[in-house]
Amino acid sequence: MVVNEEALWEHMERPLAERLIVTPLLSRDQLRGGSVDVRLGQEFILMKRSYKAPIDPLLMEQDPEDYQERVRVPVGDKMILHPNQLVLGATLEFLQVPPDLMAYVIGRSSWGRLGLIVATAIMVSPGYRGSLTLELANLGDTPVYLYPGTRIAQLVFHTLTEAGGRYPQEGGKYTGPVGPEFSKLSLDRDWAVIRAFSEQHS
Amino acid sequence: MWQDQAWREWFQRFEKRLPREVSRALAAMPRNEQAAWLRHAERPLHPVAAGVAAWLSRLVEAKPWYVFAGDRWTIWERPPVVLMSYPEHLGQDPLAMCALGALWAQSDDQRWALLVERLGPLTILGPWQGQLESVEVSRRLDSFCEAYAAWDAAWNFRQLKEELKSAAPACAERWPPVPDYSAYREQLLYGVVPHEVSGRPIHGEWPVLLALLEVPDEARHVAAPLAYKALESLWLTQAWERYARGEAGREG
Repeated sequence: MVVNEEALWEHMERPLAERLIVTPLLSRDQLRGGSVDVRLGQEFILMKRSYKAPIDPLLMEQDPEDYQERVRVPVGDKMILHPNQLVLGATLEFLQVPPDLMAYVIGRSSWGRLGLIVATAIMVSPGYRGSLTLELANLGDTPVYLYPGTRIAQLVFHTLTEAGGRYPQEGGKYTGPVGPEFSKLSLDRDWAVIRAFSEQHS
Repeated sequence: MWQDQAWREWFQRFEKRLPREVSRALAAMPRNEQAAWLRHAERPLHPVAAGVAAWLSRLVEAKPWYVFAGDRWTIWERPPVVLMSYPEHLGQDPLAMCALGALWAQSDDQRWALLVERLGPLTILGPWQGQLESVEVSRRLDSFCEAYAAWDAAWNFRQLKEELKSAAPACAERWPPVPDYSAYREQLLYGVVPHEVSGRPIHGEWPVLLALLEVPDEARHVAAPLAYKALESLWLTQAWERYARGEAGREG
């Protein structure tokens, strides 16, 4: 069931471990009608073409600087996103999702109509805390400027049938960041098995 | 000589990317100092160091400082230009970066009085955490410890005294009271950005930085970005409200 505005404000007053945290909340109208508008943060990871090797999720031993560059674009400045370019951004807000709620990240259609796709991994688990990394891609044919501080997506909260397993205790890989984080795919548990298969084949 | 020509070319290649005031300051330095500051300028400035430096310079109403990542704390000042460098490995810690205040004050008593009034206990705690060796900090240690004796247990003054004490003649200051920072300490230890409930901004910079001091060493690298996020959020909220009021005024 989708959580309404009154319940979201009530969750923001709860004791720390059960609290909905959205900070900074630059405008109170970010939280209305059962959703929370989140803004684009000031940190970005730009993907660049590596001259050394492809990204191999099985290894992930490459120096991340071979294929990514971190940049900071303050509120008031802007960054260009070229057609077919992928950039990792983050929400300006640091969030904590209470243990009895989960959330979906929904891109705003106003941005979508310009060709901007905002997030591919859209579920936020109960207990998650940190800024949300946003995968930003321009699928249009025209470059688009990104302005940190603008409302980039919405979080829609849902109740659980019972309090969910707490994300941090379950070993979530992305807990606590204040900016965008690069893929931690290599920490998936399945890689040990995939690696064993791979050794059989080589 | 060709070496001089090579030096000029090397110098100009880097110097042209710097603000004009910094270029002029460099021109007034001997060549070895020029080279040192140019090398500092080549290193990326950590956003936390940049943010804390901008806050401190606003706090003491000084002209913006030019801050660079370096190997150690250094200052070069020829009014109105101030160049400062900090140890690069400490750049992500907002409390350690408060040492920029003491570095700027040098031996100027008026600057110290201003710092003490506006930065309170962080005037001494910043240099301590930033490992800034300063006789001027040592001179103020006795009056600091006396004023904040109630917090001795939390701040472990014994270690502070051992590391900062010197034989320099004492200098008394009027230290302001310490605000309550227990809620922010709890939030940092829990692993979230210090905040107020219902999205209200934090009460100020001091309580967050004092809370960071009490985070155990092993958690400091996780807590420092959370603490800085709280400071940055406060500054952004203040600026946002200021601009929003201005826009509303124009529309009205």
